[in-house]
Amino acid sequence: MPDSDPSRVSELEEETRRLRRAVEELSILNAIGSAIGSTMDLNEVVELIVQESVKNLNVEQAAVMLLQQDEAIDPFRTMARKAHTGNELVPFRFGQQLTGWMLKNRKPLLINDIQSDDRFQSVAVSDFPIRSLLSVPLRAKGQMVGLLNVFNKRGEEGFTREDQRLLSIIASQSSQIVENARLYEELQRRSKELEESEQKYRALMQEASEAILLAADSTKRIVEVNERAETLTGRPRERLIGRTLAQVLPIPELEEPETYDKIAESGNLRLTFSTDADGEHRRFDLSATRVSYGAHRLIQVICLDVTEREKLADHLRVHAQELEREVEAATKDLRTSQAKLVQQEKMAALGRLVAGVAHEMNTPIGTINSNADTLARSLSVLREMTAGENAPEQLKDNKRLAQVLSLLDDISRINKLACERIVSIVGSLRNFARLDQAELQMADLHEGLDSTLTLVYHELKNRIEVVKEYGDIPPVRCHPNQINQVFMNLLVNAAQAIPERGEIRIKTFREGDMVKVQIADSGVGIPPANLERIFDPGFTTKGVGVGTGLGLSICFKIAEDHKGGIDVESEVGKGSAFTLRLPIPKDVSAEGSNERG
Amino acid sequence: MNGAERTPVIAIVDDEEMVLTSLRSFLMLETDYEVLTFNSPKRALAELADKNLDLIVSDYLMPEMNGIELLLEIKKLHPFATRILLTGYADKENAIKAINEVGLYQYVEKPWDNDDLRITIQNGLERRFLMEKLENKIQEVQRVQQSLQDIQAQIIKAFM
Repeated sequence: MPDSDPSRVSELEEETRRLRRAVEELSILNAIGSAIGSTMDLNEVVELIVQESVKNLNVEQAAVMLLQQDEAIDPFRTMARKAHTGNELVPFRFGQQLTGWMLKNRKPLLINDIQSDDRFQSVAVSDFPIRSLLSVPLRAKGQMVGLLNVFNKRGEEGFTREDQRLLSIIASQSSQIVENARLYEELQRRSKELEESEQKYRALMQEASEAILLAADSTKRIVEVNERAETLTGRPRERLIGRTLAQVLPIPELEEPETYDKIAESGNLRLTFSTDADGEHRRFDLSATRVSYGAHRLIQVICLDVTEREKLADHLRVHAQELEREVEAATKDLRTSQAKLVQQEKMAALGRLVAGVAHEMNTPIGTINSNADTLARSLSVLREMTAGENAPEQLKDNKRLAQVLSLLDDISRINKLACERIVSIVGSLRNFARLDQAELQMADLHEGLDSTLTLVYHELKNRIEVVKEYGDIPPVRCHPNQINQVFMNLLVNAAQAIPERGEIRIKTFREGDMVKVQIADSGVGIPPANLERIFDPGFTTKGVGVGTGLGLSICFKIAEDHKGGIDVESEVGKGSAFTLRLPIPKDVSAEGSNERG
Repeated sequence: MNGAERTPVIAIVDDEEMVLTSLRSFLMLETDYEVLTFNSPKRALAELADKNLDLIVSDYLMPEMNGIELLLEIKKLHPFATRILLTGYADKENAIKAINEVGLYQYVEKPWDNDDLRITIQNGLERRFLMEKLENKIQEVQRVQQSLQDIQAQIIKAFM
């Protein structure tokens, strides 16, 4: 009977097994296929594949290992499921040799006795002892994207070629799903990152202390602003977005196309502007930059509030100017006092020199002076003898004798004048050196003025009128002879400043704690250029032989030694006024008394 | 001129010959004094020791001894002679310090004025002769007193 043909029976049985297997495969594929529609979650997809693999291949465990993009061997992203731990997926660390081999060979691997396989001698996987394994690559679009592994086949027979075929089918069916899920996951991760970065950027922009405005490069219309930009422009966000930069910022340059050309050329534009849109006047530094975000070309305008900084800078500038002025003043003071010191030192040196010279000149000048006088007297005796009543007649009419006598008279007279002048100069020099150290005493300046006036009378004669305007002044503590010397100098100078006829006005008065004596002349005056130099020792305009150039410098020194001073006012053609200042002694000024020393 | 019957004798001491000549010339022209001049204080001391002297004018700063020292010595020799110091300006202070030691009649500053100097000398001499007259009068009075005392003694002796 054909029905009982053993070969036929075995054929049928074989066919039945094949069909059953095909049904199993189809149901696996169906299960996996339905997963595509049910989820895009990578974990769920992997879970499903692992479950199906464990169930259909009758193994203790299965694992899906996903290759990283750069095909690095480690870390494999590995997900496995231990059969006895329910649904939970656990990270599964795996010997490197196996994955290394798989990466290198990229073909299925079947090992039933891993201990005796010399390729993987050192395989030792954590707490999970591996006895046998079957590994097939997961491929998507021809690229290996991971491995599908099953471990420890149950039962005695171990993994068969049939198992390998089945696992390969599962792998080929699930590869694309895994890859899709992986890509989906990657996409989600990326978009999350993007969102975070967007948030960061937003926070950065919104919380920035600078006002930021972004405008489209093509239209110059604003697309984004931050809060500070709202404050700066005094407009809410809605009234900024869509307007042009020139409409919201008070900067004329922004209306000119060249400005944007400049930004396009150099990539950057900097300028400064002011606005009081915020309610108070504030200054800003603007920096405009052209930036690209993907396909978008934007103009990024950043405005930094520099009001406070500029205020500070102004403050610093004022402060610096003040300091500069102070330093300048101090320097000037220093120069003045230095000049004064130098001047004093010069005067002291000159004083020593003059004292020496004056001393050495005493004897010869005394002699010449005396001789000139004696000569003049002798001549008058001689004249009396030769021309007087008792003179012999032959001498009386001798013209030659008369001529010689007259010549001798002239010479003698000139000698005498010359000597007097030398004596007077030596006297000045001596006074200048002030070798007399007479005591300080209380003195009435009016007395000094009057006695000095009598001494200079011959200088004034009939050509100059002296007007006295003596005020009520207390006596001062001084060296009277020195002060008289000052009066003498000032009066003689005043007389010499008046070429023909004129007036000298002497005024005394009290001003604060000073007594002042003003000697004013109606003379030629002093040109401004000379006014600074009149107190310099040796400065004279009187011509050789008339002045020593020491008079005023002596006066100046005397006044200073008395803690006073001399002021001068002068106008060319109108005259000069010299004012001597002397301090009123404390006891006198306090009591207002009129004591005399 | 000075009330004296005899010619006044004055001495001038200065280490500078030119000063001596000047002063001598002037005084010889204007006065009838006997003028002795010395350019060395030591020689002056030596020669004036046994001479009559009415007035001395001395410089202050000289090589051998200063004017004050010289005048002190002269004072010992001629106590009634008038002493005048002729000083350079710078010596004035030192000279003034010494004035009390020597009993100076006057000091005159160089450069001097001839007339001032002549008047000073003239006054100095008058003083000197007044002193001399006074001395003479005192001596005369003393002499008279002595003779009176003698007479008194004789009278007492005669009547006793």
